[in-house]
Amino acid sequence: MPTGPSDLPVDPVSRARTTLNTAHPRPWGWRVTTYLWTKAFGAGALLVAALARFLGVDLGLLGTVVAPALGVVGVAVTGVLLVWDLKQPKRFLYLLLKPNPTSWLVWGAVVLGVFAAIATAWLCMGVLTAAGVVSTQTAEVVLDPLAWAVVPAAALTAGYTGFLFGQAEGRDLWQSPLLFWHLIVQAVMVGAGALLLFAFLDPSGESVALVARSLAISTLLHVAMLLLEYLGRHPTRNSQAAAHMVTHGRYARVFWAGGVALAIVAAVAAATGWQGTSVMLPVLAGVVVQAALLAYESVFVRAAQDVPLS
Amino acid sequence: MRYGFAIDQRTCIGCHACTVACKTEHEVPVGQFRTWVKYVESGDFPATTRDFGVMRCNHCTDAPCVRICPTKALFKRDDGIVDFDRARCIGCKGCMQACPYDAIYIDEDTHTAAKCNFCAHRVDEGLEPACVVVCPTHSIWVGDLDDSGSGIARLVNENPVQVRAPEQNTGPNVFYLGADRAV
Amino acid sequence: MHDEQPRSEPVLPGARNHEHLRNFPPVSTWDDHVEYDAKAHPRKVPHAYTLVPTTCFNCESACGLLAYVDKDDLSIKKLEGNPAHPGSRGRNCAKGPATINQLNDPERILHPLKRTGDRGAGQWQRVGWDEALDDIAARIRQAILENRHEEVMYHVGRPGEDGFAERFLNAWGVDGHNSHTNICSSGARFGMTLWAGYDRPSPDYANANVILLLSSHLETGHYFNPHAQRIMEGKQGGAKLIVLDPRMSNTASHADTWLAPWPGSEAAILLAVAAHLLRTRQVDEAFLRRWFNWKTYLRELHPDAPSDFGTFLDRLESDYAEYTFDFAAQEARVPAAKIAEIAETVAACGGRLASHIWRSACAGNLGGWQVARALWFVLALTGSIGAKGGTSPNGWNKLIPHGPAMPAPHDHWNELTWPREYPLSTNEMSILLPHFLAEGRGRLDVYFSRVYNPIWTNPDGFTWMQQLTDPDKVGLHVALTPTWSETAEFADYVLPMGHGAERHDTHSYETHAGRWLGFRQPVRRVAMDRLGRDYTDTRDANPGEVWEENEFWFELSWRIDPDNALGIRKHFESPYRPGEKITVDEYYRWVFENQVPGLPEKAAEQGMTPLEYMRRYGVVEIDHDVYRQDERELTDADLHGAQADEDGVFRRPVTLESAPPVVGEAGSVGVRHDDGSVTAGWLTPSRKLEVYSTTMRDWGWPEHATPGYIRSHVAYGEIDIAAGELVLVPTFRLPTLIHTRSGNAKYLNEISNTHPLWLNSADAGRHGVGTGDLVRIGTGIGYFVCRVWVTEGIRPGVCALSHHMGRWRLHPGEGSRWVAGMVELSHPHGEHTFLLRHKTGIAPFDSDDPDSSRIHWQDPGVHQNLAFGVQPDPWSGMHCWLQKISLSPARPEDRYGDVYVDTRRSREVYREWLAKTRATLGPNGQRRPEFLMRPVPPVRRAFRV
Ligand SMILES: Nc1nc2c(c(=O)[nH]1)N[C@H]1C(S)=C(S)[C@@H](COP(=O)(O)OP(=O)(O)OC[C@H]3O[C@@H](n4cnc5c(=O)[nH]c(N)nc54)[C@H](O)[C@@H]3O)O[C@H]1N2
Ligand SMILES: Nc1nc2c(c(=O)[nH]1)N[C@H]1C(S)=C(S)[C@@H](COP(=O)(O)OP(=O)(O)OC[C@H]3O[C@@H](n4cnc5c(=O)[nH]c(N)nc54)[C@H](O)[C@@H]3O)O[C@H]1N2
Ligand code: SF4
Ligand code: SF4
Ligand code: SF4
Ligand code: SF4
Ligand code: SF4
Ligand SMILES: [Mo]
Repeated sequence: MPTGPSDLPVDPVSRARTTLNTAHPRPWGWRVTTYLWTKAFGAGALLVAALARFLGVDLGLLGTVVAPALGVVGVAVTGVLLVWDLKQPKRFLYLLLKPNPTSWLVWGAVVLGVFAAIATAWLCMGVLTAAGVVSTQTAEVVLDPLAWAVVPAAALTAGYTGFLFGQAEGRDLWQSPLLFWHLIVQAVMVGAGALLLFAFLDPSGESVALVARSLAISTLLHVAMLLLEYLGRHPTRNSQAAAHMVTHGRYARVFWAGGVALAIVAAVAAATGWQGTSVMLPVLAGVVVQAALLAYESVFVRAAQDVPLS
Repeated sequence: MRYGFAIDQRTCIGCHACTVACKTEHEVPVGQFRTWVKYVESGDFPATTRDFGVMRCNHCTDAPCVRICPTKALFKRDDGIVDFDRARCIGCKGCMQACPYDAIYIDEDTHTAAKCNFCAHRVDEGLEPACVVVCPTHSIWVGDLDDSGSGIARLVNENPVQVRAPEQNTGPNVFYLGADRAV
Repeated sequence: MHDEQPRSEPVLPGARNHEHLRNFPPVSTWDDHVEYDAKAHPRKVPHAYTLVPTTCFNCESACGLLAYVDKDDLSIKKLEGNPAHPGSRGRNCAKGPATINQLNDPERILHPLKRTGDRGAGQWQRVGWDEALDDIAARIRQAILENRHEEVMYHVGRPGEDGFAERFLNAWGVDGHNSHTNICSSGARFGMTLWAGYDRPSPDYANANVILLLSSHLETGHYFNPHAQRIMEGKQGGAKLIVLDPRMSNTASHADTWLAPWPGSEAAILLAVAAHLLRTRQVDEAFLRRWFNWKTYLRELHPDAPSDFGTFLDRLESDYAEYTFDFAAQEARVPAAKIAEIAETVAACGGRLASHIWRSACAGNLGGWQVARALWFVLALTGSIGAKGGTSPNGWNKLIPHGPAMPAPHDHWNELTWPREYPLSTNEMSILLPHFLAEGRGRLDVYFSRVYNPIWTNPDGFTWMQQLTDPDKVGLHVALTPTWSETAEFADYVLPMGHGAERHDTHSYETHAGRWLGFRQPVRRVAMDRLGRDYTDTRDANPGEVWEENEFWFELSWRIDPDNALGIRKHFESPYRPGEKITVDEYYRWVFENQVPGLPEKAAEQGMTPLEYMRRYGVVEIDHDVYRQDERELTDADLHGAQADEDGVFRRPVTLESAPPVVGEAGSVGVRHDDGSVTAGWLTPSRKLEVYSTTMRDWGWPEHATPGYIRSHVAYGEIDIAAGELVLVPTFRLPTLIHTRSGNAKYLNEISNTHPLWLNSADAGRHGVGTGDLVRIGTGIGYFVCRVWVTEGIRPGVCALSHHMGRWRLHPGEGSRWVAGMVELSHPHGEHTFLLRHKTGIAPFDSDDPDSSRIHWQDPGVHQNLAFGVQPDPWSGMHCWLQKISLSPARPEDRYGDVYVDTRRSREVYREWLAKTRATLGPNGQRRPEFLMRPVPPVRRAFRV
């Protein structure tokens, strides 16, 4: 007959104590946390590559091979994690064979499939071009529309989880209207960060500058959105309780030190590459944001599920 | 037709008979529950009291678990019962996230989602759900809420009732009579 | 949808048809009920079942169950309620449906076992039933031949049957019945018996205006589910519920008034209520005038006063005037105004006060029997006894049918169970058995333990262990049990008997103001009958070699007396096939055809034999709306041969060779009133309600001849709170657990599996302990170590540790791993000292049942009873369960669950309490008043020394 954890609110009027109850363990764990990250860096990397194309910045191999490769690897690992997380993994095809059109799990699978196709096509073009099999001109003709297609595909790949989490009506923390946009910002952050790790492949000042600026800006935006999200008022008792756990309760340390402080450090470090002249610190920032996002997502995924619903 | 429950916490004695009858009817694995009884204590001695809450799926009119389920393993029947088909379930656990009432679990034997399904296999044969049959104080009422002449509709319409977490706007069809606010 | 119920089918008391849904399939379909697989749903996978009624054995309520036996493989799918049962009406508590767990338990015992190593050393070999039967029968035969009748003992806990044990014990001619009553209910029984002869209350809650509970009947208690149903009905009908309990039970949480008195003060409270009723003359004068033995009261206590009823009331009022609200408040440590409030509520009951007490204060406290007596005083004053909405004696709601060729009563007196020191004990002094053996008062050659686990459920378990391991004290210990118990670990034979759904019994209990007879049956055997499958006896229907008691006793009795030379065998011969062994079918056929009023007619109405009827419905209702049986006018036939004595009591002549009934005096039949009417009355010597008990006077306790208040051994003044003392209530129950038998029901254990000490925040603060802290609880003979739970649900000064948990096993394979932790026993300060320490908690294990690997609980609990010395109440013999304890933080060497006992201290405590009695003989050298209940009573000669 234990009493409840200390970071959960007690009814102030009755001071009621739950003495017997049963609750279910968190359904989603590290695989979902990780999948948020893998698809984010995959989608983000291609988003940055597309952006470069629109701005006319030539990222070289970073844009033609690394970004789509990150996209392919990210979405592939995402797929593996998703299927692995199923309690009936052998039935994963039911997603497409017995689909429910109202479910974002179904549409998510579609989005991931489309994104995977685009990323693969991009990668093939990049590799074939680099190998000299396809001419640069042909590649351009194909990559231009691909880049435009990447924008909605990558945005949805990163952001559809916002709609899915929105359907997870039991988790009020996930009901934020900002979530879709926040996930895209996070994608750019970890995508750009991931690209920077490969900066040695094309250390041109211009590309480093673009990627580092993307990283710095998205990271700052991420932090700003975090603060807005967690320091603002939460609409329901459930989301308040979850937010309280994040900022003051069992996850406070991971959140502030891992999620927020690390991200700020990364943003500053990334900013040193603004001009594309310094690479060391931006690369480091590229590593740090991955950790920062993983830390935050682990908190975000767990806290929402930790609030008792009964 | 809208099947629902009315649970009278004024007469419920917290005995867990419903919990166990449900478990034997469905052979629910140890550690998992389709319905369970929550105990809440409040007040300081000697003004202490204890309240019970019988928890289970609300068979929501607007069921988020059905919406999120990618394979229609969860579905709403014409009679209002939110039922499930374990043969379609891929075990994505989306429904567990969607349900604002923690009503769903992944059955350890079948690795598929399960929850109170109103004993639909019994209702289809004209039998009351197992938990209703067993309840010593007849605190669980079952019937068609749309039929204003039914016992349950009268009970719900003529008494103050509560539903769990109404702010979730799911349209719960389990109505509580005399439940403590903390339950 | 099912067809309409055929016309011939009776309306079942528990059948319901709400909103087109029915709660049970109609009886006409029971032989062939198709149900769709719940797991395959929504696909329709049909299974064909035959539905067989039986009786739940998880508590004394004996609720009806309906087993779903699969026609393909004879497996039992589940057990629901039996809608034909007038007591439970198709509904059950959690423990009813959980019966299926006990049947399918991977830990159960499937074959007879015989000890090979030392007692308690954990070495067993499988033996055949024949070998075991021959061995046991030979020993019993020898004991009888050598006139060592007192060395054969059948020690039973809750028997779950009526009348059968009487048969074989009388046939063997031994006074060998021993019960668990004095760890259970002697106190309440004695208090009630003094009033009316009957030993249990039968409240009519459903029709009450006021319900006063000194029990927790909305969660536990005898007849829990049937009573809880009717308490709620009463409440819904407007009845006020008053609960007296130092702990906030679930029942208290539903009360209109919950009073948390200092334990043991309840008689003072009830007498204050009585005094208020007398003072304000809110009493049912007509009832009292007719039924109180008030003339005796005046003659004994006010010999100079005129013998009229008005004077009696005046004197009664003044005699009880000292029980003021303030006095009671001081004893109970509660506000006087609260007691006054209760008194007002009771006074307004309009003759409809339904009330219950069984254990609670009566079982907890020295003199606790006076609580029940004071309660019946209040019931009588309000005119509620026997009335609609009031409280009747249980006997009116009970039927004990007997089988054919009942043996005559025996003529022995076993002083191991009925010792001189406790002439009024209700019933056997079973807690003292090991001390008597240790003192050399006797020995046992064959000791049966059945539905009884004294090493665990009794106080002073280490003393039991010492005696049960000594072959000089106990020659052969036969444990009849479906599962392992701590006691079975110390047996010589462990013989597997069927659970509730695997054996035959009849029983009848006071669930409400009606009368019914229930029939427990081995459901698979009945299913085999219906399907035309062959079997020889119940063993063929049960798992493994599991048997049932009835057939076992038939067989054993034959083997004791194979050639009928001792006159035993003839009581076990078929009434239909002379000279041949009776079968259970023949036994119950005879019972149902000859002993159950109305049953043959009811059966005939449906074209059935009585046995067919009982096999079909599992129960028969004999009476309903049973009230005021004391007023039943006696017919000439009733009075035939009887003469009235000077007090108007009609008696038939008796001799020393006559035997009294189980309750009441031999020959006594009724009473003539002042108005000349002759009615049945009560089972007391005066056949009145005895406000003055001549029995108490005659047996040396004149100061307790009237209802009174005896200060408890744990009264407020006895407890030095400043020195760290508290009262421990070790007796409350959880709704989902039942003694040691629920240890084999996984669905119950998964709900209730922690065992904290309830401690009020004020006490916790003073002791500087918080929830989860380990504390050492010091008792009179040792200590135990448990964990604190700080709660507002208990009164300050009192702590409580629930019954049921704290199970253990000494050897792998000897116990239920669902609940029992492995322990180690050591003797830290010599052989007379014991330390029990847990080696492992509860952990998952592998078995046929995948659920056993899913055990998520770890707490085995604390076996507190080991650390309690015997505390027999000097009058009733009740073990006074409440403990004066000292609470202190655990020491570094302490581990959770530790129990330490010095058995020399146990012996001293035994002697201290023994010294409180007055060993007396009654008139004519009687050992015991004849009217007091005595299981398997001998002829009257044996009552005299
Ligand atoms: N679930 C369940 N039901 C059971 C049983 C079981 O083990 N489990 N056992 C069955 C058996 S064998 C029996 S005998 C009955 C007993 O059932 P009851 O006669 O009801 O007895 P208890 O449950 O021992 O105690 C009832 C209440 O008395 C309170 N109490 C204890 N001491 C005192 C006291 O000194 N004064 C007052 N006022 N209250 C006190 C306890 O807190 C408890 O809530 O239950 C039967 N029913
Ligand atoms: N601390 C504390 N101790 C108590 C109490 C308390 O309130 N507090 N209550 C006391 C009371 S009221 C009672 S009645 C006793 C009860 O205590 P016991 O009479 O010992 O009752 P059980 O534990 O139910 O049954 C004892 C054993 O019977 C066997 N058994 C179980 N089912 C069956 C069956 O179907 N057939 C056969 N043949 N055997 C079976 C099992 O081996 C089981 O261990 O406990 C007493 N002990
Ligand atoms: S069975 Fe009935 S009384 Fe018991 S807990 Fe369930 S709803 Fe309450
Ligand atoms: S776990 Fe099964 S039932 Fe639940 S949403 Fe996923 S597929 Fe549907
Ligand atoms: S309570 Fe939960 S599981 Fe039940 S219908 Fe509503 S959302 Fe679905
Ligand atoms: S309706 Fe059936 S499935 Fe639902 S809680 Fe009751 S017994 Fe369980
Ligand atoms: S009250 Fe519960 S345990 Fe007792 S007989 Fe009835 S169903 Fe069985
Ligand atoms: Mo008992």
